[in-house]
Amino acid sequence: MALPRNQIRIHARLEDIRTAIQFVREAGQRAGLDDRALHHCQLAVDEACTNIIEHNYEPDQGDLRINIRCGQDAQVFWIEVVDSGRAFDPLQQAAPDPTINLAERQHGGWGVFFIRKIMDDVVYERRSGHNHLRMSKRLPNVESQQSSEGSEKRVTIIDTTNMMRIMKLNGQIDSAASDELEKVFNQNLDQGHRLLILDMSGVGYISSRGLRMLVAAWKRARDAKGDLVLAGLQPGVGEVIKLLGFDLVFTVFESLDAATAHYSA
Amino acid sequence: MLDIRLTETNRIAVIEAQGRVDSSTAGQLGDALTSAIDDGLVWIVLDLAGVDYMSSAGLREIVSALKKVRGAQGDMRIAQATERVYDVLEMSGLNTIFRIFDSRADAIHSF
Repeated sequence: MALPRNQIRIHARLEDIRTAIQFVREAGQRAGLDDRALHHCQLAVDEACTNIIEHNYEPDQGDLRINIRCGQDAQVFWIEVVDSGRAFDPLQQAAPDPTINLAERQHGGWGVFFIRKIMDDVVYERRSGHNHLRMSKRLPNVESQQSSEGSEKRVTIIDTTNMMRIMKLNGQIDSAASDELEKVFNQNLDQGHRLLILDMSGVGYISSRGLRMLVAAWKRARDAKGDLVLAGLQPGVGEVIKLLGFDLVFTVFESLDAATAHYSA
Repeated sequence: MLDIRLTETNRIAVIEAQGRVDSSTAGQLGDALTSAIDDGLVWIVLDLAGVDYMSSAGLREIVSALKKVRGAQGDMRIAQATERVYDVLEMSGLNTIFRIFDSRADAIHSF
């Protein structure tokens, strides 16, 4: 049975991973990824398949397969790796620490560490007896739109009072940015700035991980009898937030001015 | 897919790899390193000029070899890491654990 062009099925054997890598490389090339992004996609699919073969499947389970699908939408090239092994969410594993000394270094976990580090978004789902790992890489045109903003800082503090902090976020909120922003938000909340007003007008992309991080920060703020509100969303970002139903979570203001007017009233 | 060559001069082993180091070939590299160490060669230069791809499976082998040689008062140093290999060394923080040299001669003379 012929599979669609955007899909390949390999035997769950280490020596067959190369077929999957080659397939992803060609699909990524067609999508317009540059060399470095292609290398990252190859590494990600390699690590994902290796983990499935080494951990999700038992060696005596018979003729096991891994399905790999690729695709793209307006902003990203994505790879989905599907296996029928035991339920395993790699994203729940504790990440190893790259700064630790040789003696204490964790032996395993580096494959998932790489996947999270090099891909812009990674989502795991267990659906109808299968593990689905979807890994996305931003397409270069999205990147270049952003780089026209120059090397603006990811977050700048615009105004502050004892209780409130107004911050402008810039660029893309991908996995790396999420980690950084999470720290900034937590610091502010720890210092008692429990009303966080985020000027989002400089943010052109937010990954699902970025959104989860925002929701977690919102929850912390609410628990502290404060709030985390968004202002000046770009249309694409507003759409994603709505699509996922988070417009019911966040208070969203048209612009930063509207937000500050609301809270100074 | 992975070619490994070992030469020895003045108790320093130069292990030169050529090809891809991934989950299906990492074992070969691990075996080559282990057999050198078992032969008492604990000063090792790993020349990676011919390696344009390394996954975490490869890193795992070189880290466990590094632990062994350092445990025996030796060291393993990396020469000529390609950009892609340096990329993964850096991501995993190994660029601060290994001494990495631009040329094989520099790596050899560092011992």
